[in-house]
Amino acid sequence: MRTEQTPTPCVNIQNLEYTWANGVRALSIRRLYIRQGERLFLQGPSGSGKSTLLGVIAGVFAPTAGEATILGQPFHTMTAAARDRVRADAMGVIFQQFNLVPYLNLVENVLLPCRFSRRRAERVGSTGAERIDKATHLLSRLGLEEEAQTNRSAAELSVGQQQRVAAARALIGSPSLIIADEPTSALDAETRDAFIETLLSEAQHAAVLFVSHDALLSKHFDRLIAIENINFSQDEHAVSLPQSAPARAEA
Amino acid sequence: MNLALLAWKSAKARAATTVLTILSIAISTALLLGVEKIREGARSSFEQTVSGTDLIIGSRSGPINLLLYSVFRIGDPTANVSWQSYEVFAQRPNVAWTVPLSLGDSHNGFRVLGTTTNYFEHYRYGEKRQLSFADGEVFFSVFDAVLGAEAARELGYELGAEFDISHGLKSAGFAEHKNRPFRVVGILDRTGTPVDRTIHVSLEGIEAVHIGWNNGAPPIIRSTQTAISDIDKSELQPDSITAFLVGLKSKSAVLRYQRDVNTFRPEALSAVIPGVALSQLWRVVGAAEKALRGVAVFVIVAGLTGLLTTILTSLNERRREIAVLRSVGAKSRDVFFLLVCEATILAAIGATIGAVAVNLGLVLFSTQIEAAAGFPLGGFGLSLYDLYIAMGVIFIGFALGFLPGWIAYRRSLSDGLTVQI
Repeated sequence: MRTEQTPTPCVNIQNLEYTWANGVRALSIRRLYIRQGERLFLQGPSGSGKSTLLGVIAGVFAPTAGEATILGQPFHTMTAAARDRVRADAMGVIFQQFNLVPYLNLVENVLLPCRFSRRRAERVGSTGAERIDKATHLLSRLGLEEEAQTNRSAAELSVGQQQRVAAARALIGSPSLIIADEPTSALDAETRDAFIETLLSEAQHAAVLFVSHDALLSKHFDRLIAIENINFSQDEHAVSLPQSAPARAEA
Repeated sequence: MNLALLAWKSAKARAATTVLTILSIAISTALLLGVEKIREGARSSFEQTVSGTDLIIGSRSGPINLLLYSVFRIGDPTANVSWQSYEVFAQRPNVAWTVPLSLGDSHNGFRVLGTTTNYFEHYRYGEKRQLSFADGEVFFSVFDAVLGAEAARELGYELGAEFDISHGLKSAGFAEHKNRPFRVVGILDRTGTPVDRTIHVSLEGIEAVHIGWNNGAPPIIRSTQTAISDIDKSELQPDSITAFLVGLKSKSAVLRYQRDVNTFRPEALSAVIPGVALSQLWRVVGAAEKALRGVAVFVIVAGLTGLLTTILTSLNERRREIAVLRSVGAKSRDVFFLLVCEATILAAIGATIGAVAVNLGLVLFSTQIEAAAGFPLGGFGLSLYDLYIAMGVIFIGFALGFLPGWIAYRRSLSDGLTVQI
């Protein structure tokens, strides 16, 4: 199904199926389309297959059936290592919490993707010193100037500060897609909105796929999709996964 | 390189367990290398000690015992060889040379060996090397003494130094041969054999200090002691010696000569071929060596098991860390190698520290170890064997790393990006 849209979509999923090794089907998505630079809010309760979907989009899980073309790359035909490379080159991921590697300092944490992608490292800076400079800069813009300069260890930061370091890591080297999996659920209401504002403004041209169960946050985004409307919907049984879905499917 | 650095930083962050793991590997490596080095050192030292001697002859005893007391100055002879028997065998037509040895006295814990100047001419060690003098020359008169290098160094004696000798090995006051001052006339170069710890005097010298003695006991009344000047040279012909070394003109005569000694009717004697006696000794010692080495190997296994335990127990707390690495683009393969790297790095550091420590220790304490062992230990310093063992330990560490690596690899596939903790 070709359309006349000139730019390649950021995420183009068609007839995607994902079944766990134990036979439990976690995903069945007829179509999911994210434009370049689009800010998409994906809403759904836990156990609805959100995390599995993010795993497929990030290239960690291979689709059992169907097509998942991410950043122009046919993930459904690629090897795991090749998908990992796409993630290292052009994606940023932010988790709910515990985003940081405890034995690395803040700047090292931010520059972590550069260890796995030369291309990304070169986008950040041609020399190590330049990259450190860029990372420090980015951290300052996210309000962590002092912390970056004193090179504090990750464990010394508050949860909110840790999330901002994680955002800096996701943003470093201008990725094309940022995946944020409930990044604000550990934050209080005031910092939550500020965090999202900062993330979106720093993301510039990157598409942002923001997952949360909290529909109130959707106001910051271009589009809202409820996962139960796309997973197991329409021609399939139009129901979401039951809450009692096996734990592995939630993971 | 990147992964190795990450692995190292991760290990460093768990400093206490990492240090202990490295320590246990270092200690076990040091133990294995130490056992092997002392074994090798003892062996090479023993093998270096006699060369060029065809037969060692002493009173009837086992070959190992004879070899040990005559050449290595370990243990004591059961009986002596009479001077007459010595002369009989020394004068056989195919004999090239003989070196009589008379033991039983000491000075400050160093054995005194009575012999003839033949000793300096015919005794060979290592690759048929002759004894050479660092200072002075061969003894000439009755109370001249030639010191081994180590004896001279430890006693602090130089040429012209005078000393007494005492009966037996321990310096027991009452049995000292007082007023019989020996004088140092020569100091030998270091040989790395028991010669270094020996004080050499003439047979006559040994005989002279025992004048007036009866049955191994000193003269009871002091006045009966004979002054040095009164000693009559003709009295100094020894009645017996401890053993003697024989060099034959042709090797083909060795077995016949040995049979003649062993079947000599007037006196019960034994003749042993040094090499044969040594290989018998190794057979005896071999079992103990194997046991020691076995223990050392098991200690290494224990050390490496500790490594595996440490890494495996760290896996759960690192699940999150691994998910983070995956999210920034680490491949599952990278996760595998991260853990293999960590195991290898810890094993490598441990093995290196162990190898260096054991060599350093042996070099620093060689004097004490040699003094305690009673014979010199050769062959210290980093060797190819150390390298092999260290590489072996590192390789096993690397191979053991596959287990946590594999577990983490499997988990990284099923965990995806999110981990329930």
